Amino acid sequence: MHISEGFLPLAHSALWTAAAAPFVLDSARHVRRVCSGQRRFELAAAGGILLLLTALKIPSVAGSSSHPTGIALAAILFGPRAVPVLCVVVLVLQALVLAHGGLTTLGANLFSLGIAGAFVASWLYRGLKAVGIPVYGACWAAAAVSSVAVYGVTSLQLALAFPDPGSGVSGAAMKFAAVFAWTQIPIAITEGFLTSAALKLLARSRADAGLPESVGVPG
Amino acid sequence: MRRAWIAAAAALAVFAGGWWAAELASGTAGSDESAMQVVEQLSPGYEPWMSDTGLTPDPARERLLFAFQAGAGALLFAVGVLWRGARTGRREP
Repeated sequence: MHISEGFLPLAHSALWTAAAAPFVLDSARHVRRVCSGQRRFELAAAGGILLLLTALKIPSVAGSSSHPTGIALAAILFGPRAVPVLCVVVLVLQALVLAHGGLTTLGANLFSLGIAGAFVASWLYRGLKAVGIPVYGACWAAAAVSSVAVYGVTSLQLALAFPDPGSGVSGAAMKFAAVFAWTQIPIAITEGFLTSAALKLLARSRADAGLPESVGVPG
Repeated sequence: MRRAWIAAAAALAVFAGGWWAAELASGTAGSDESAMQVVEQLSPGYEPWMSDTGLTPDPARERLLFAFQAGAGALLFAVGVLWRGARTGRREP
């Protein structure tokens, strides 16, 4: 999901930055409002998982490697509005210290990871729970599908910037998606299990209270 | 004190695991880099208009930094879980 520094044309960089900026501002306000008392520890745990999973470079099939996305736990616990501000911290850190991603592509990377991915994770979790899927199954699916969705959005962003001369944006999107899919799908399945395990650990950490009702995890 | 040791141990274990995973992945092509090769195929001659703005660590240092990040994430997660549990204390069954 890291589009490298300078790899998006200037206009695209500016547009994605403009698109992501309101979400970041809203996210900062949202986090300040919801983050008090016990919830500070839940935010620390969710931020920790984001930091941890995005740092794991995992070998996958076909001799390639990629990163999990780590957004689902925060999206499930705090809703998608809390995620962008956490992702800004991680993406800026990786751009400046690890040369992964970049400041010119921060808006695009933030949009795929912290906005699109977070909404997919949150909506899918709530939707699956509403139709009776057990909490940890819904968590697994939300984490796995959102991980793939992040790379789907990245494919579309790259395709919009570099359409295929023959088949246009859709053809280019398929080419980028093909590059990501083989690597990311096995990693996404693993990410689902890791996120479910993290949610279980967090839920068990305070058995007398459980997690907020909106999360639906039994105490 | 016990919680601090558990958190530190978790961070160290994940640091080591992250380093090991990065070592395993070091011989593989990252999907991000592969996507940038597709950019070069679709738009031959495209030159990134900005080079890396931050540090560009060598591969060994990069693996170490990723492992540090993973360890820091594990520490933060452990602090969140362990201190959250301690705020009111767990109810014994």
